[in-house]
Amino acid sequence: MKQNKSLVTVLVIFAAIAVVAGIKIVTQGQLTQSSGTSRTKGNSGAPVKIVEYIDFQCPMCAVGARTIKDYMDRYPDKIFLDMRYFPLDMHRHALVASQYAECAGRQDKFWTMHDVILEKQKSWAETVNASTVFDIYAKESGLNMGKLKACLSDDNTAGVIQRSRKEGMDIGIRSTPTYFINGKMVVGIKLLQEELDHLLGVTPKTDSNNVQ
Amino acid sequence: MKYFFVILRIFIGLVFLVSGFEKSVSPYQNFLYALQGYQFLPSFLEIAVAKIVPWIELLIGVFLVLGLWTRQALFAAAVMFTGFIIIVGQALIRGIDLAECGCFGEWIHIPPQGVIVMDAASLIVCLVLLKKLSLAQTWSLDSRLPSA
Repeated sequence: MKQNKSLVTVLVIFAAIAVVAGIKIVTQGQLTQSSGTSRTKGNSGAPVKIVEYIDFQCPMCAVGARTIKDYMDRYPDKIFLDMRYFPLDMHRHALVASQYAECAGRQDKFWTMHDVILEKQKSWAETVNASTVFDIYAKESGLNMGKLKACLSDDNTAGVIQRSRKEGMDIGIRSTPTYFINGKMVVGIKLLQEELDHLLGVTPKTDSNNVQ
Repeated sequence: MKYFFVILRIFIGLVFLVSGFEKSVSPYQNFLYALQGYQFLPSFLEIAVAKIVPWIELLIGVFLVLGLWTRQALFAAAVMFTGFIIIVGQALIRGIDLAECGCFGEWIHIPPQGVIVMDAASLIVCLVLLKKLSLAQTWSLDSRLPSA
């Protein structure tokens, strides 16, 4: 009887591992290659390639953007950034913020809009209608408002964002900010800094400068 | 009355099963990110815990649902719940801002205050089931495959 129980135990453990491993293999997608969209920045031949999945309403994404900007300022030729959308359902303005950024990108102003939306995140995150605030940012950024409105109401714009989000889900992203640095998945700012420091050969900063 | 204890055993098992399954099928980095939010463990342990704990949860869940090694699985579950209470409790005491516990990955969102109550209640259930082990082992593989 004891032998039977040991055998059943081993079978149960193997079955559980096999089921999870099988599901992982079947459901896991692949990170697509960076393409030359308006959402990329930096030297495309850089040794450090970052693919970032962003939610514009996520506070840590704003911190992450400042962190990457800091590294790109210090190492301008060594980092290439490819931004992709991952608006979370829990953030009610995240989708519309992504739409404004995408539409700004179609007027070659993606990074201008990206920066202003994240820098002023606290001023729109709690508003009822964030679109009115984004309209102001768009005007200040010199966007053609007619083209912007047409783009915002175009189903293709939302489609681009939803496809990006679905791709993120397929490769296992569940929270933001999530980065793929030279293909390695990194979630959160602490690991982002550690990985960039490692790849760029930087002496790590003191704990007081690191952000959780 | 014995069915009540069986339902409790299976319920606790499902809690572990769901929690462990969601985290096991996702890249470990997602759970690692949640774990780092608690600011409790050193970096090298965070990575090890993020990789191992989901599998332990999964196996505890499977064993409890099937009623295999029920006493040991209940004891392990009680240890896990005690650990969760300590980790979440220290974060609350230190005033660490956690939007949600990260316990069930992205499937279920529970604020830390809620999860500490849930963990405490679940710990009590585990202790009761250990006390009433023979009743908890009704409809179990243990009852069909007794140890020598």
